[in-house]
Amino acid sequence: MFRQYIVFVLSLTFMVNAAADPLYPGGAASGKIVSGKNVYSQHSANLPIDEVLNFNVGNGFFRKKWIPAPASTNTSDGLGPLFNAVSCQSCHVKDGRGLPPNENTMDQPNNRGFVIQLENENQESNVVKGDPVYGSQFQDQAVPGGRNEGFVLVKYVAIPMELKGEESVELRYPKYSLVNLGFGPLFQRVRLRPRVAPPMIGLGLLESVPEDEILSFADEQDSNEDGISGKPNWAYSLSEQETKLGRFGWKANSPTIKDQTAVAFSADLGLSTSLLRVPHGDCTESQTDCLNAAHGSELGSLEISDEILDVVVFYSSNLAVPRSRTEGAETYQLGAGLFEDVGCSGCHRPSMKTGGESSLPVQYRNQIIWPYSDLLLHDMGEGLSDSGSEGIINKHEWRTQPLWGIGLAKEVHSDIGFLHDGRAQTIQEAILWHDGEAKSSRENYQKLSSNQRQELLDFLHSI
Amino acid sequence: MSNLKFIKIILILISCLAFSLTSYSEQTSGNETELNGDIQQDGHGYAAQIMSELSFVGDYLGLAIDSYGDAFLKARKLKFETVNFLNNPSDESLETVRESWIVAQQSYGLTEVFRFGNPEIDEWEGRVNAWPIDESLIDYVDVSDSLSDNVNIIKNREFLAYGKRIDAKQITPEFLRSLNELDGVESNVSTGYHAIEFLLWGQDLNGSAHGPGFRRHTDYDLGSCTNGNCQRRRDYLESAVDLLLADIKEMLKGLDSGVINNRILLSSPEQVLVSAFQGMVMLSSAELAGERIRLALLSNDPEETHNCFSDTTHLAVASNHQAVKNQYLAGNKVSVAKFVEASNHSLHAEILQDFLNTDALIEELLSRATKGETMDILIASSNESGNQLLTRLISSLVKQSRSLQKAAKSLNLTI
Repeated sequence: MFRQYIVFVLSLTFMVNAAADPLYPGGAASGKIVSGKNVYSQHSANLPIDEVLNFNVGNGFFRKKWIPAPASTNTSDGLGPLFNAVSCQSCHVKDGRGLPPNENTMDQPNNRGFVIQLENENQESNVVKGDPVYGSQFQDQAVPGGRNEGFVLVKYVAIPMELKGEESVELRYPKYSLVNLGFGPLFQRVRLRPRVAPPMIGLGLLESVPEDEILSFADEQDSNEDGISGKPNWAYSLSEQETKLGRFGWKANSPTIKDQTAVAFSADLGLSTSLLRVPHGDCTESQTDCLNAAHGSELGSLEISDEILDVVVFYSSNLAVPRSRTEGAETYQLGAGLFEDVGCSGCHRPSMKTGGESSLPVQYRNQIIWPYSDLLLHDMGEGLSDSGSEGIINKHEWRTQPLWGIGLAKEVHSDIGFLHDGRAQTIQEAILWHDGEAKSSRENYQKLSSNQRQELLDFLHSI
Repeated sequence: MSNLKFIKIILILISCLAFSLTSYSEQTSGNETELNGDIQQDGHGYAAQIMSELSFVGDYLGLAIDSYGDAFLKARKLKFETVNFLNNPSDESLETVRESWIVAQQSYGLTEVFRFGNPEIDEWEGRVNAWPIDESLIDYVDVSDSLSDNVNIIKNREFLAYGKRIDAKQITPEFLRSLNELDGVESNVSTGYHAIEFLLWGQDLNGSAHGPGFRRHTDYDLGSCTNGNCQRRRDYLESAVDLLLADIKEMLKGLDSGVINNRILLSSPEQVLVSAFQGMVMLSSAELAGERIRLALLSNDPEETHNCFSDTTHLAVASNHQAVKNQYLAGNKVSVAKFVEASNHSLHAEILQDFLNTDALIEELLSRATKGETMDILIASSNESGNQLLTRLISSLVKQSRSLQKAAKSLNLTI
């Protein structure tokens, strides 16, 4: 009750400038529910009521379990032949993150929203080309009667880190091995790119920020000499059919939500869309039994029709960022101050504004939002880079992960982890992995008193 | 406490008491919208308005209690028939318990208008009516639907779910509750109407051809057990029904004297009116037109029809629409209709006309179903006239939802 009162008073305080209110990280689209396992599953609060129908239908497809072809219901089939998951939601658990792999043995698969992408290091451009046999992603499941690509084994190595006033904390460094390979050895120069599924909240808002606004954060040559560069990732958009600013994915590879959705349907589920029309997903020419297996695309139709793709994209765009949960203005100010002093805000840029064009959905127009990200690529150092040989252009670079709603991640599922492969079990561990351009900020954090560290963590939990 | 506040609370209590002494007729029709005379005619102007607004709060709560009360009684009948069936499994006793399930679920459908606008109820709802359901969690399914991750609680006394070993030696209500939405997967539905539906009918393997699931009574017969594990299947069915009954009872208590009761009674009449509008608008459009009909139509997938095992989705649709009408018309009580009619008579007439249009389409849905053309057949991509009927029904439900939104706006309510 008291808490609600505070929030109410704060909202009144901010009414003078209602448009810029960190209590509403998604602006007027922020979700009302602020706790519980469904907290990432609400629609934008300002979504027109008539559109909730589409949101619900999209939700239906998002949680739908696809089945292998041929099946009695020929419109729900087409899964695979190779796949990592049977539904969107099995990776984006409760619309949140995928689960990081556990240290496992051969009878414990690690497929709750964790995949290993394969990248051929002989590439020239930034278009991902994978293993000549295994394709761009390692699928550990296949339809009945088919051969899967193998099994992912994970081991964690403990790495000690210093923190002022504390003995030391341990981080865990993951080592992956691909075993029981179904199609012979991997190509020699293939790099493993471990990835957990990212959370789904606030995506439509991020898509509505004008390109120019994001580019204004970039400083590729570090001309202001703050040690932070910030580099846009220009990527080809399947939906717009032109090179555009990448915004989504751990390396900002996808310019639009629709691009990302089509890629996920293809690589993770083996389902074809009008953007990626191959019904066999990530099968390569060497995987002939996979190419010859039944698929759900009879008579040249798509496994995922445009209507279904659109409604899944609509759903994915409209999951709300929950309202922030700050206890009081003072706590918030303290944490926000530390966030800036330590240097976090150099990349985790607190706020930006969405565009006002009438072509944008009304719920996203002209909102001041608080994603705590610049959506740009930054060098994060060797510790986080994908394993493989040296000299690759972007292996240290990661898109600044938006932090909004991060404090609720463990309410959505207690076993989630942070960072691209979920290795960090707490937000503090994620901070301690920061290196490269973020090295000095991380060192600043290590030097804080334990009280200050707690204040900063409380802030991160509240936003 | 100010005097005015005190008087307000007393009035609310009186109106609640008055309501609980009268019984509510579910099947209300358009011409029964006359006002609750003794309250309305008592006074003029402000006092009369206050009083009718206050009794609206009580009547809203009363309708909720009556609706969940009826759902409870029907679930108790389901329990009774389940015990009969398990004592003497036969074709006849299976048919009887199936009938009681249909009646129970229809009654539950009338409560669903209270889900929206009442966060406690929506939170609770997943326990009793979660859908869609991955039936391979519960029992055997056709081999063609078998992927390696099928759990099959009835078959396995111990299983591995998402890397965690789960002990399933004893199937009890508590155990089933602990498994609902197992590890954050929403289709892992272990409890509620649809879990029970699957246990009674089994998987519908007819695709978009006529006929529901085909489960034989011998699946529960210890003497001549089919498909194995009959004792565990019996334990599951009984536990699931017990849990359903306990869950509805808990909701009823909450409405009668618990947290929800307190919250609603302490809300302003405007707030409760907003909840009522949210219930009608969201159930008509987002839920019924969207998740229950459009999703099935767009996927052409029989598994996406709401009652996919029993092929009784048409009855669930009819019941939900009736729930919207019940909320609007509220029998001879103080109704939402009264406020709308007073503020904008033509809008009220438009809403009634919208209801009639939906009624006619639902009539057609029901009549086609009795001739064997159930929802799973209507949604088949080759069934042009079936698809058309559903498209018209979706439009009609969306239209009534829009009229209701306009009505809320005309009363200066933000929903």
